[in-house]
Amino acid sequence: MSYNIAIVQYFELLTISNNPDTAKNLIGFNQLDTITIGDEPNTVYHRYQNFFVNETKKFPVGDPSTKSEDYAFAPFRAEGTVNNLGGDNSLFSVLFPTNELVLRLVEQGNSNRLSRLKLTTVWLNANFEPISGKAYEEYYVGIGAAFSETTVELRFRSAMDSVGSKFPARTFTRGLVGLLPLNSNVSLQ
Amino acid sequence: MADFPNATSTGLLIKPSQRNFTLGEYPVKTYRSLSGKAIRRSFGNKPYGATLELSFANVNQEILTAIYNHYHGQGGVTLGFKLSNNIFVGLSSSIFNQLKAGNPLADSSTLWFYQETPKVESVYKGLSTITIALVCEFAL
Repeated sequence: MSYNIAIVQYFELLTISNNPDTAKNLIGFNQLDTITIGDEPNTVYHRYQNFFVNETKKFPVGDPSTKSEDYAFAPFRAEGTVNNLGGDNSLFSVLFPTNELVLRLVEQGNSNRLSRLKLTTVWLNANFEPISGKAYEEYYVGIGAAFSETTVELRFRSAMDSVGSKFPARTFTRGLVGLLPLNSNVSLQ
Repeated sequence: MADFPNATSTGLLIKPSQRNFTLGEYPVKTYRSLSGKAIRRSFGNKPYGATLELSFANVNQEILTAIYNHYHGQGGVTLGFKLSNNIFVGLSSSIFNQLKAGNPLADSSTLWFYQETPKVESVYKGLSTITIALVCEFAL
């Protein structure tokens, strides 16, 4: 008895460059429409998937019926996360073998400190087609990168911030408390 | 990147006397639970790592030099290359193209690499038997 699982992960990384020319140069370099100009100035979207080797695949962005984008193949591995009770500060990393592609990603996002990542995980059927309703989206912000001679690790933390304890303190009012006792006799009922 | 030589500079064809081909495997990890049920997780849609062992028996120094130069031209195991038609001579066209490309789609998404250093056995004066092992990897 066995059970087969096929999962594709694809991400959309928004990088922000200090140099306005860098974004334009990247668009000219890319022939696959997987690097596109972002909405804000000096921003670029990089789109990659890790299942369909040496293929560019279309995946939906937001509502599947309205828009889809091209995702080129990149041999990355996504791993994480560490959660705490508050739900904030989940750590997440994307591992790449060192190549031209990932070095460009790192340099574009100022060592991955000025980047935003949207990672989507989709289950595939036996024909390697996406199963509707089995997609999960996660959002992260870049916090840096780590290098070795063979790998580059892009590090992220969750974009969500937890509900902290620094809200204005709630104060007791007569309306909240009701009538206060005038002596120390308290009747428990 | 230089293709594997089809012939020597004087036109001597380089054909193997023996070849062993092993199909590539698909990137799958298996987890078997205590109950015996196995979960297989696929990580890609194409096979990788097909291997090819070639033997060139009793060839002269001209062929030995051609293979020797090709190995060093590729930086040993560093650079990938395409195989020549003579490597798979004798096969029909469809399987010929698949084996030559090293993948079932017979496309250009893969390259062959030396898996290890070629082995040369001296048989007789001026004659050698060369054995090479190749592995097919994705071209990125």
